[in-house]
Amino acid sequence: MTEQELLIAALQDSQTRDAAFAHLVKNYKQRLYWHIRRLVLGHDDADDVLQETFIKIFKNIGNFRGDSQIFTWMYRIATHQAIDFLNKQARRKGLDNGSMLEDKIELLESDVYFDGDAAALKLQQALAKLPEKQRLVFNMKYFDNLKFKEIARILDCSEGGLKASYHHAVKKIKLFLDEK
Amino acid sequence: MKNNPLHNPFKVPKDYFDSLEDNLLLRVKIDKNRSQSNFEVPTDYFDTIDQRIQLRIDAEKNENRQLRTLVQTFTAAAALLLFFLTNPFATQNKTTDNELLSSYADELLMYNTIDYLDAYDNMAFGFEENETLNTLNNFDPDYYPELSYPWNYAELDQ
Repeated sequence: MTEQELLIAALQDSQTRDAAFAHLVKNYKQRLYWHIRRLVLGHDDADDVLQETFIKIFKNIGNFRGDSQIFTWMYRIATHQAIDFLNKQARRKGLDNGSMLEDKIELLESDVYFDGDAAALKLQQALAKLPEKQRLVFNMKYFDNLKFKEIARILDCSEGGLKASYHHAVKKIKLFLDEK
Repeated sequence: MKNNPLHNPFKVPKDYFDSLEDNLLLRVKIDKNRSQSNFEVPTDYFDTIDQRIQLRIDAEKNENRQLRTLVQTFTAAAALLLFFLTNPFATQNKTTDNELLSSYADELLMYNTIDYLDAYDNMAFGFEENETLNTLNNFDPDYYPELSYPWNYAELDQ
C-alpha cells in the first residue's frame, strides 16, 4: 500500500479519521492557504475559505475514490470554494468579478498583510483583468508550479485548452505591464 | 541530411521561440513577485489554524449529531402517528356508542344494568363490600320484604 492509500484508508475509517485528518491539515494547510490567498487576495477571506475547504474535505473524504492524488482533489475543492466565495461576494456587492477584484486590489495598498511594491500591485491588477479561467491557470502554473496535466484534472478541462489559456494570460499580462 | 553530423535532431514545439521572448520578459518583470512574500499572514497563523479547523469540525459534528437526534425523534413520532391513523385494528374498533350498544346482546345488557343497579344500591343503602341488595342469583325477597323486583325507583328516591 502506498502512503496515499494508507492515508485515505485512515481517513475513511471512523476510528482513525480524526488523527488522519489532523495529519492532512498539518501537511497541506500552507499550500492550500497560499493558493486560496492568491485567488481571494485578503487574509481574512483566505482564512474563511481555507476553513470551509477543510470542512468540506472532512465531510466528503468518504466519497474520495482515490482516482487522483489526494492533493489534486483537495486543490480542486479549494479552487471551487474560492471561486464560489468570490462569486457570492460579487453578487452581494452587485459587481462583476473583475470589478470586485479591482476594488480588492485597491484595498491591498492599505492592507497590513500585503507588503508588495508598485510592481506587485500592477501584477495583481493585470491578473484581475483576466477572465476567470485564465487567471486560475496562470496562478496555478506560474505561482504553484503545477503541471498542465494536474491543472487539467483540477479544473476538469483539456490540457490543450489550458495551454492556450495560459498563453493568452501571459500575453495579456505582458501587454498590461508594458502599457503602464 | 541525416548523415550530416551538424544536423540538429532535436525539435521544439511550434511557435516556441515566438512565445519564449514574451515568457522571459514577463518572468524578468514579475519574477520578484513570484513567491508569496508579498502576502503576509498574522503571527502564529499557521501554528493555530490546525486547532481552529479542528474546533470547526467538532462544532460541525455536534450540529450533525443534534440534527440526527431531532430527525430520529420526528421520524419516530411521525411513524407512531401514522401507525395509529392507518392501523386497521384501531379504525375497526372505532365505533360510536350507539353501534357499541346495539352490538351487545340484550341479555348482556340486562346483566350489566343489574350490576350497575346493585352498585347503586350499595351506595344508597351503605351495604358492605360484595354484599348486594339484589342479584339475579341470590335475591332473597324475605330478607328485604319491602322490596320487590323490579322495584320502583321513584319510591326509593322518596
